Amino acid sequence: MTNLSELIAAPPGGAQPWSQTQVALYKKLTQTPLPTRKTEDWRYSARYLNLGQTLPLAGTTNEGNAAEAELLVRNGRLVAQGQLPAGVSVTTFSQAGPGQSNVVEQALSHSLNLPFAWLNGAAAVDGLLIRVAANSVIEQPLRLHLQASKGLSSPRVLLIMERNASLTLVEQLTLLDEPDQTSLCTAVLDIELHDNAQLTHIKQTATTASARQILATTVRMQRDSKLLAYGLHTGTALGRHDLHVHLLGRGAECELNGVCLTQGTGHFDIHTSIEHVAPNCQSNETYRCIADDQSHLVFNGRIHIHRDAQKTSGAMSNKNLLLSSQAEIDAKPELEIYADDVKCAHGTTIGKLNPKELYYLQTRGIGYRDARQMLTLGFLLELVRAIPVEDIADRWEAWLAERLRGEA
Amino acid sequence: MLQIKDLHASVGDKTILRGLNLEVKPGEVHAIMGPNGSGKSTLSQVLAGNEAFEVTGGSMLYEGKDLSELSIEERAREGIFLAFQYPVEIPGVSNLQFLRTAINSIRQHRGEGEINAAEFMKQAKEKCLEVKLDPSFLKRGVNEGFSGGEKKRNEIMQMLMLEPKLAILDETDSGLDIDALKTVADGVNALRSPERAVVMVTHYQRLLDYIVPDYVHVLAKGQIIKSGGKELALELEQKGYGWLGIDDSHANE
Repeated sequence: MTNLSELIAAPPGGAQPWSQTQVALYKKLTQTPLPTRKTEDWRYSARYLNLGQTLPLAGTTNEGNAAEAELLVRNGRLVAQGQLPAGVSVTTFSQAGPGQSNVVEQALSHSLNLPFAWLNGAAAVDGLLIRVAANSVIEQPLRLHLQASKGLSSPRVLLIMERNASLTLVEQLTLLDEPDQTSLCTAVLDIELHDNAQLTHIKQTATTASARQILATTVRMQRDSKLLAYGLHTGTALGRHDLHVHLLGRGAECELNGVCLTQGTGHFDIHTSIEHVAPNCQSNETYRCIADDQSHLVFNGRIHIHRDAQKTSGAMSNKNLLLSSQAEIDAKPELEIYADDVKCAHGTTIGKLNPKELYYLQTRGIGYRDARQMLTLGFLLELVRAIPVEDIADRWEAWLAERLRGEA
Repeated sequence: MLQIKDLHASVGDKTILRGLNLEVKPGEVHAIMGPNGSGKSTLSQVLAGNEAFEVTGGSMLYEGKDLSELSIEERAREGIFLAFQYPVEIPGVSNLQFLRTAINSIRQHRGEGEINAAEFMKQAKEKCLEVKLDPSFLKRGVNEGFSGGEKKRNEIMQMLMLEPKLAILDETDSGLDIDALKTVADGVNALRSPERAVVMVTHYQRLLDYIVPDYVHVLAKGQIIKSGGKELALELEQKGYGWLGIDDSHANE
């Protein structure tokens, strides 16, 4: 197998308005070799790809239960929809009217330099278009639950927030069955934030240890829009999330936060990329990561400040805890600055548990295992407790505590 | 309660304690004084089980048990408490969670069940007020962003919650203003009882005005070279250490 197109069992060629875009993406894939460790973007993670054969299309869809989330998407198809708040409208790609199909085509084709997002676009059986109307302030978090079956699962979601709209989106990916070597989920979420729109996005990637997931989130931000993002990731057989944010309008602000915990033989690779295109924008990025046992964690944080992006303020902090001598963390900040009047700070550390902190806890009667668990959890909790949706923060705290005690 | 005989201890290749002897009985308060570098803090750390220090000779018996056989946490569960000179900050671990885990670890060791949540909160708030810490501190990270004085008060607050049999105060008085010093002293005095003992390591006589010791010892070059009653502290205050043959100016070697 040489090119990514060979992963797709049947080349696209439907009669949808966006099918031509899929054909074009497919053509791009025929010229895109499988990443190897020599591919810079996949340098540390290519060894987990194990892509040697065509992947069968992920299973047929069934009815879902809308009680789990307002929007339940299975292998790319909307299978259940609960009550949507006023101001939020949802349509599938296949049902999008003539006015919308243009938007869908654009979203499918922009996909940046992300070959697996092209694969997603070429192989998508359908997609979801969520639109939040101008001036709608949605208080209740909107839950988007993505499910993937065995085989190649290509969920695609496009979220458009019109001017002055405000929303909290809670996105979660789970697996319906035990993945095998022919399984790969490539969920892609494209977000458009129009002028002064505000989005809080909480993303939880698949936690099943055998999950094979290559996920992407792209965000295009117009004037004065705001993004507050939280990523919650755990190591799996193949784990990858690309988060690309484009600050296109003056005064846009993004805050990207994430925690990642890899254990056992798990793997997770976080690639963030912030493009400061417009002036007077702010970006703030904080990631806390822990690798234990024989796991492997990769963090690559890129900030690109374009020539016209004067008065940019950027800050990136990436702290990592390496808990085992057999675990591996590869952390790399990448700064490219072409404007001269900017503030940009970055810091990456890889450390071990602080023996003074362990000792302090032990002198109060707390056993070594408990002390270690408290400190590792505490390292992540600073970020988790800041999640503005309390039940999500509580659930994650409890779940991380179990994982770090070795119970989950 | 505590019998230390001919104790030798080193850190790295540097020998610090060179044959220290000390006996502490229940109900007693001992003050250990001495110039900087004499080994005062080392003694506290060795008793608590700090693994950065190596015991190279002698013995430490606590309630008949050989301390060197006990892990750090086992010593704490058996009733030894060290109030640190420089308490660490642990962001992300709340004081409440930390204290509850500590108390439950000790209770489990004694064969008791977990502490009732409401009872725990009530006690924690009371003890905070006793040492003049705002109970809102309980929700914050352990010592996170605390001032020097607040950290020391937090040490005493923890001590009051854990009710140790042997409390070791390592320069708890250093860096405190007089009000904070009184608060700390009140906390320690509240703990005094016929079953409990206190060992205070201090550089200054000032603390002993508020916590009156039964015995004062002078530690120099890793040995206790003089012991006496509380009047010894006053003598040290007036005369310095020179009359004992200690060259104070080279104390930091």
